[in-house]
Amino acid sequence: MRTLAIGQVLLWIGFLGAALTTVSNLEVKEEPWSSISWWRYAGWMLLGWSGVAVLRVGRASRQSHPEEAGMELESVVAKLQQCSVAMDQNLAASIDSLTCEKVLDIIDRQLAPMLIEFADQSKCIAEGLGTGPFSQIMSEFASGERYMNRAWSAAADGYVDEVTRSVRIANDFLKAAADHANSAIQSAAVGRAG
Amino acid sequence: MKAGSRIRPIRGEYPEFTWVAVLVGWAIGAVLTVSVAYASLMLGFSIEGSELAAILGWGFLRGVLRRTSIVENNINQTIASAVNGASSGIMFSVPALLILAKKEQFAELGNFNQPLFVLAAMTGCVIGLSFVIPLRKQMIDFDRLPYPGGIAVATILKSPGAGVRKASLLLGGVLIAALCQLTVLWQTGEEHTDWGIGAWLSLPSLLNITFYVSIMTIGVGYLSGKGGFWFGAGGFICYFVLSPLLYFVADPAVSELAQDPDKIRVGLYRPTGIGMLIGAAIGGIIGALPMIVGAVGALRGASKRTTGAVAANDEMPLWLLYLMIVVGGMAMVILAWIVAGGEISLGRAALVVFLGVCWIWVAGVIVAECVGRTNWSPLSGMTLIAVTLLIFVVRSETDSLTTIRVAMFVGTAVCLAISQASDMMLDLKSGYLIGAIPRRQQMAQFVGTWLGPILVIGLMMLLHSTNKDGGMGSTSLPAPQATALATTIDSLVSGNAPTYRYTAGAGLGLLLALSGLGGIGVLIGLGFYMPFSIVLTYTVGNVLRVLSDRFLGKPFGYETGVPLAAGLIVGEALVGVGSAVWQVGKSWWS
Repeated sequence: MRTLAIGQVLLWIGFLGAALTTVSNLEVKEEPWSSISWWRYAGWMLLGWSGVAVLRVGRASRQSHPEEAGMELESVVAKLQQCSVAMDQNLAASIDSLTCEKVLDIIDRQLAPMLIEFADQSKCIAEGLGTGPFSQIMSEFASGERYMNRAWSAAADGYVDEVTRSVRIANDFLKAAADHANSAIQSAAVGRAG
Repeated sequence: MKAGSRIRPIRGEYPEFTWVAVLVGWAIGAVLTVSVAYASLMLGFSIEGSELAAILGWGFLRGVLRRTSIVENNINQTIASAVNGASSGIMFSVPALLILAKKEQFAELGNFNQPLFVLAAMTGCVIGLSFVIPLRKQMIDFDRLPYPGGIAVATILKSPGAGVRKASLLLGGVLIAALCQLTVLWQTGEEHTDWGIGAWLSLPSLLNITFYVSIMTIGVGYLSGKGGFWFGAGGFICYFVLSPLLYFVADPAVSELAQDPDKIRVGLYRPTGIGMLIGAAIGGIIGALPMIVGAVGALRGASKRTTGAVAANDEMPLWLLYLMIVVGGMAMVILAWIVAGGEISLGRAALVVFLGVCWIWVAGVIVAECVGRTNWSPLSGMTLIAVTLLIFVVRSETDSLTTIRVAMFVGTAVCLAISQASDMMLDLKSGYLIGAIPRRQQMAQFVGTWLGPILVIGLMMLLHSTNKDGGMGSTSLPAPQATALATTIDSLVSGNAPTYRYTAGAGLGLLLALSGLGGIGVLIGLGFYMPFSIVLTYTVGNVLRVLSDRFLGKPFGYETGVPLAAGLIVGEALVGVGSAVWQVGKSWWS
């Protein structure tokens, strides 16, 4: 945490110094490029870039010590699992016996808030597991959420066949997202143990 | 499924991409385009037509044709807004030729080849869409950029099914915003005005405490939420940090300028902000490369899974998009060479087009991200950069007249490309929220995009030729954005562009973009670029959202705040377009 704070301070001081240097002088008509003191600009930018380097080192250190971020990552992945289970049990399993009004209610009250809550915290997956697993997981999750939204629209309009189809597809996507997340966590754990 | 008490079950295919949606989209798009193009000419800013198209489509498709499909109405509004996308793209750029033609040495520019410019605009639309469509996954699925305008459109589209409460909140927001905007119009005679509360409270002028009187802007800030904070921060950095420092430590000329916020913004902050946007976009592309590679890998891996066939069919094939870029680029090379009348070599024409296409890619990313986070698009700034770059490349080989003609030709294509890119991403966000199939929306955008350039260039020439006041750039047809571009082109051709400040700004933007703090480079750059009055009003919306999430809970935001804020955006847009239609009618009558 202290490393990240130092990085932030260096970055912002460097940025503000360079920004001030950029706007400190009006244009020199004869030699426009001399309107900015480029040595001073470079000095401030060096400070800023050192802040970026410190921030990156701090984040990398956090990723390689996952026990700090691990609890958070596991709870976020657990949320994804809950989304998948909720979609399966509350909607997909009983879709043939539900009315359109009930489908709307389940999505609005139960599923949508859960999916939004997971999505709001999903960035830690990229930090904890890397961008590759993050993009795979979010690709499936986003498709699942989109098909859930499609199910909502179809239910609001009364197109029951589309509701059934979209719910089943959404269920498949969310299951795939949860599976990816679990595999990625297991691979990461094996990698650390190795 | 069982039959319920309220919603009548319908069996069969869910209508989405239908001929009805296409024809209604074209019709609504044509009406919108004429109104908004006129507004762009008179007022200097454009109105995003998606909200209005969604409402009109809702009224016509449901009310008149009794068609009950949210996703079909979404296709209608996608097509209509694609047609309307040409309004700002053309009215911010092409009239500059007619304005420059008033100078004796540039008189020939007034006789530009209109069919070729229409073709350039269409080609630019296709290239811009082809570049931005692959970014959907990154910006909407992964980054989950809010696209406040897209949220507003989705709220409208869903309102029939969202229940009476949400529909009432939406309508309430519309009425509040319409009333406020009509009051502003009535009191000031202008679409928008600033409230100089800083002067009223006797605060130093350099702090620039002025609010842009626009309730829509508060709605936009609310929908952006915490994510839009850095946009406000950019403005605060300028006027609360840099301006006071400049006042106390800089030389007298700059110290004096610091006390005039409008002059310091135009002279110093705006060019720095433009540079920051460029640097931030390049940095953003570098930073996002691993994620983009991951996204492509995810698509490839998807084909091995059950869900893969669905995922693959939901997106337009990449090979088709790249083919359109290549074919469009080649067509532009030939057209640019023809427009130059043989005064430049084919190689030079190819270089100009290549640069233009590269800039479409970079600027498309910038604008898509700006609109995604704040709903504001730095379209004019990005067009200015394009024309600047192109003038530098062309002028060494030919005279000023040909330089301007070729630069504006490719610049028009770039402007349209960027305009379509931001509209597409906004529509894809609303499509995501209502469950549209992305491929169908993307095809709908292509179906609508060709019509706008024909309508707008036709309207522009009609207004110019029938105007008794001197045509474009006159008091009755001010075309402020095009006038600014014409002034800049004139100074560029005579060698007066602040490229040093663009460069320094680019370094700042790159620094922030690669800091890992998530898109802040673009937002802070936009805060430098935009008038602080707009930034302040927008920040009010941000603060309201943060407070409501903190003290009333996030569900309050989704259930109450979002529909209300969406209504605010729609209401002010409705009055804006209505005012434009009124002015068109008045001038034709007189």
